[in-house]
Amino acid sequence: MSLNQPHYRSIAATLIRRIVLLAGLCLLAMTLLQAGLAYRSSQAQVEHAVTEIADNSLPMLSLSLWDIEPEVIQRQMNWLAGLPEIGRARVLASTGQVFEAGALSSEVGGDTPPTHTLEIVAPQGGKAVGQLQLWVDPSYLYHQILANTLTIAAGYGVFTALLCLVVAWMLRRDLQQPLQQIARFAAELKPQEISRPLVLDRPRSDHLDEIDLVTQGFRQLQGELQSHIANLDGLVAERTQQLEKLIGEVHRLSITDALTGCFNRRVIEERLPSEIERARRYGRPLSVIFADIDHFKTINDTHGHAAGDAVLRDFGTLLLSQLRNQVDWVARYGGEEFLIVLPESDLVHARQAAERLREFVGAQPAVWEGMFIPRTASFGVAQCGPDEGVADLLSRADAMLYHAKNEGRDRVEVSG
Amino acid sequence: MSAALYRLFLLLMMTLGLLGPAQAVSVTFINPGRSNEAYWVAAASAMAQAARSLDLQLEVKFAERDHLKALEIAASLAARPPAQRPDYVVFSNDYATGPEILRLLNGSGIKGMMAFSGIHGADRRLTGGPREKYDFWLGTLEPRAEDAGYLTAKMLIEKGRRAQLRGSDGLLHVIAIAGDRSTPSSAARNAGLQRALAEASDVVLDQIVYANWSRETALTKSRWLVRRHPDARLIWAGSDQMAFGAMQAWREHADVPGKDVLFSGVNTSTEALKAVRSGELSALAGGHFMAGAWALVMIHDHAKGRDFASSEGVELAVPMFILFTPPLAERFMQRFEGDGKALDFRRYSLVLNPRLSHYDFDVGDLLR
Repeated sequence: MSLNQPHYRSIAATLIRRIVLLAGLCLLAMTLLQAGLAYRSSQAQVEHAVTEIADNSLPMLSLSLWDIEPEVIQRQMNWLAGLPEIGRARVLASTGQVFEAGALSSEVGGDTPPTHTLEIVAPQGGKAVGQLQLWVDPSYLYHQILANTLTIAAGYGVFTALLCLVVAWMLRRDLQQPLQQIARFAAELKPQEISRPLVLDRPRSDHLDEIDLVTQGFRQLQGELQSHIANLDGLVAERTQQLEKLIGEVHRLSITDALTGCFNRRVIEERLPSEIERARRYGRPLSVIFADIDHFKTINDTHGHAAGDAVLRDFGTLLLSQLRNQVDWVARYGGEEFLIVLPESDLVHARQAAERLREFVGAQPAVWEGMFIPRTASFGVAQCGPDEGVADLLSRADAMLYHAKNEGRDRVEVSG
Repeated sequence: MSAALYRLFLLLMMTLGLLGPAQAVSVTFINPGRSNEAYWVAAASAMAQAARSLDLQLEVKFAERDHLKALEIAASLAARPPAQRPDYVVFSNDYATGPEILRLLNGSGIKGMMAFSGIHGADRRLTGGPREKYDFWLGTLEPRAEDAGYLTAKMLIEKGRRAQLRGSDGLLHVIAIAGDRSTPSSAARNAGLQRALAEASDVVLDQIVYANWSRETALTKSRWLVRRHPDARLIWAGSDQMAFGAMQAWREHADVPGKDVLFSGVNTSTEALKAVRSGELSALAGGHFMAGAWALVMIHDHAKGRDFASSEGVELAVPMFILFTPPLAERFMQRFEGDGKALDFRRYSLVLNPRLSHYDFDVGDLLR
């Protein structure tokens, strides 16, 4: 894995991260809004509650003040101070007595003025018998807002967590797992098994989804790849055939003498050693015949090179036609000299073959532009000895040809 | 078996009793008050004098203002062996113990006489009247409590007029310190006050407070009242103790009782009688502590065969209260607290005085 390649992070993780971020922002906004609203409503609520409490406790206080029931008044103070909304309660009797209960949590000792002050009138009306002073507990408002806001925040948090869980679960089931299967399948797919179908391990559904589309696309891609590969194979086979044909032609040309249609001298070098080797291995005879057109220089000089070429071509054709097909072969050794290789032939058979060729050449003159050109040929025959190499064999045959030339031409001389 | 034998024994004793000298009639008083409480000690003391005078055998049991103890006493009386049970029990309905005491005594053979306070209101449905549901409940003797309130209020207003203790509006301002809101005698005393107020056009009641018969509470509340009602110069109290509590508050306010402010009270404690003599207490009513002693007179006659039901009825509300002037207070203290000569209760008995047709219980007469 290259250093430049970014780290892997699943879409589900990214999505959940985004949801959490967004939910967090929403939560913050909602909490602030809720806190603001709660502050306003709680303030009004507390104001209302305290006013109501004060109004409700007035008749009782009026009675207990009028009847002079200090314990009842003190109890009333304790009850008032015990209410969550109220931090401190105090009654100042007109006759000088003071009853109070509770202490403000925020109060450090300074006497803050009461938030609510009410006159207590005697039960039968008329004159005031005292004054009720109430201090709203500031921490109550704070706690109220806190409780209110925390409840909303907790609910929202739980909702977000559930949402994330569902998203994570669905993404994992419907997206991550199938995609990973597809990725694994694609990574493991080999060219030779391109047709292996993509099968996903996922619950069956009545509907198609994106994953199904991807799977279908994948199968289509596999099918097209497969047919494309099959076409390529056919094309390669065709071209290979054409090329082999071409190569065969080139090879044939490279071993054929263009003028006479016989093998050229290179074939002798390539093929003769292996022929000798094979004959020796199987204990079979092998003979060679050197053939040379007599007085070819005179023909060339008399009738021109074109006539010489025609004589040469005719001589090659004649040799080829008189040989055993598939077994014997003939190559132009150079100039007007040809080498005939006769596998499976001993010296006797080779001499017969050479005699038959000599007679045939002598009996059929070459024809060139309506003109008969008589010709003869000399032959040197040799059978390959048991340990004889190519050079020695050819040398012995060539010596026989030379001997035949010296003995008057149009004759066959056999070595040994 | 043993019960049958016991009855036989009783029958024998009764026969012997007829033949031999008469045995003294025994009476037990379930005293609802404390053994150191002036009023209830005086009540017991008066009863003791009456018993001595009438040849009755008296036993006094203090309940110490504990209503459970009063019931325990009643239960223990009924649980005694029959020979040791008293012939009569005098009890009160203080703290509403009456119905339960009646139930406890029922079937014990003890005859009951309710004195000082009777059964009124809702409890009455439980018990009925005397001799209705409970045969042994002979009757009720109650002081006419309304008199106490009325007499003291009348006297207080009269003295206020004389001393010219009028407020800025020219009226006499009264403050009432009442006992409680539930006891019938408390309500009756208040009613007496209200009757006296209704009869006087130049008097106004500034406020009525309840001090639960407590001197301490009366003091506490009066400290408020002093400031709240500066015009009020007449302080009516439902008892002597509450009057003294109030008195202290006004003293703290630099007022002189009997001069700047007038006080009235009910009961015949030594302290109250002395205050009458010194003039600090302008009006004092008393005599209801005699209810127990008067009940003994009626028991004496009943034991002798003279049933009061026919001539007096079974529920008596007797005007026992008298106002104590300084000389009367002096005499009262001599008779009841000193070692003076024994009081003669025999002259109130209908049995011993055949020419009397009705009871005439007058403490003033007794002191004369």
